[in-house]
Amino acid sequence: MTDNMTIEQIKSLLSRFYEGKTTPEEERQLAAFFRREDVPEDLQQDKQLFLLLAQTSEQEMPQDIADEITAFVNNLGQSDDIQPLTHVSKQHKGVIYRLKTPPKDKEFNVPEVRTTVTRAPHLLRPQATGFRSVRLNRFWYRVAATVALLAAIGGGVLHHQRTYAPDPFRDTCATPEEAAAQIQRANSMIAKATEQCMAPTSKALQKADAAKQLINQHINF
Amino acid sequence: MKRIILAICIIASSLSTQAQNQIFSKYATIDGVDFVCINKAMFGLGTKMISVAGGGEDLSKLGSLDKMLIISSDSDGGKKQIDKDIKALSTDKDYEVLMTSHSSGGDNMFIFTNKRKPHELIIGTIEKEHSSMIVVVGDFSKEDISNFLNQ
Repeated sequence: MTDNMTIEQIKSLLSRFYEGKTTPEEERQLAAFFRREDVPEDLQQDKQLFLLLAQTSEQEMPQDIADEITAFVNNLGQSDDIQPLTHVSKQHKGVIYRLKTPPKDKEFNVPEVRTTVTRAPHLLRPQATGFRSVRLNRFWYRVAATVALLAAIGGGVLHHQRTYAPDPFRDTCATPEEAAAQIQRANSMIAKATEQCMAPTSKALQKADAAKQLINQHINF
Repeated sequence: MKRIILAICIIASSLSTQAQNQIFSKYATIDGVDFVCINKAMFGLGTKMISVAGGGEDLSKLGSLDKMLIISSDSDGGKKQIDKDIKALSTDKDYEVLMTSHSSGGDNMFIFTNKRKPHELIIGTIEKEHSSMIVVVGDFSKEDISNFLNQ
């Protein structure tokens, strides 16, 4: 099946592999492809990385080294100078870390140093899953904290307004008589406004009536 | 960055709601402006008194009213603010102008209501030396307003 796959399909599979979305069957296909001699030049680096990952996962790791690597990887995740770049694969539970600032040592004259850390699935699966979920949890904690902060500020402002600010819409009329006088005043103001607004329409209607009468007179005559 | 934009949007939307209420409430504290607020209970008592005395009860025909505001001013500052708000409301996309009248003497009348939910009827008057706004807030339909204005 690998022989029939085009380079584009391999590249697509490879990008899914780096995103940790490939299935074990797809990873086997990639492994079969990268074990071939005629791998294109632009995929040579990926070949090295992939074969390294595959080789590592196939080896049995002594328990004390596994513990040491676990501690090292967990420290990497907490370091300020290093950030996780991507998860390599669900199967291998690998994480590629990138140094945020390249070291000034002359030995490292490349702009970016990548350290690949892979974990044997049978040894480190729980920690790997936990590491990812901690990152997700951090995001949701931040969202929850932002929402809580906004709610607290909004609640505080509303509480302050309701408690201390005078209600602008409280009754200004102390007695029903006073209210009656104001309502009558409003009635007369509204009547004046509607009359003025309707005046052109009334005039037009009167003219139309007059024209209608004139036409009727002529018809009857 | 997304969180900051989200926070700004939430704060802006709550402030804009507040701002809408402040169009009328701010007049309660402006000097030189006559601000009258009659709430539902007092309005009921007032209209009852008018009907007992044999007077008209035009506004009560509009339907169930919650509140009525009469805002008027003869002073320069107050009049300018009322004129500004009437003009702003007449171009506000949330309000619909039902009637307008511009007389040669410089008097302008505006009658508008909310576009989506007609629970506010506003009658704005801009005269040479006096401006006023009557805001009627209640539960009434467009038909109620139409019948009220054509009575």
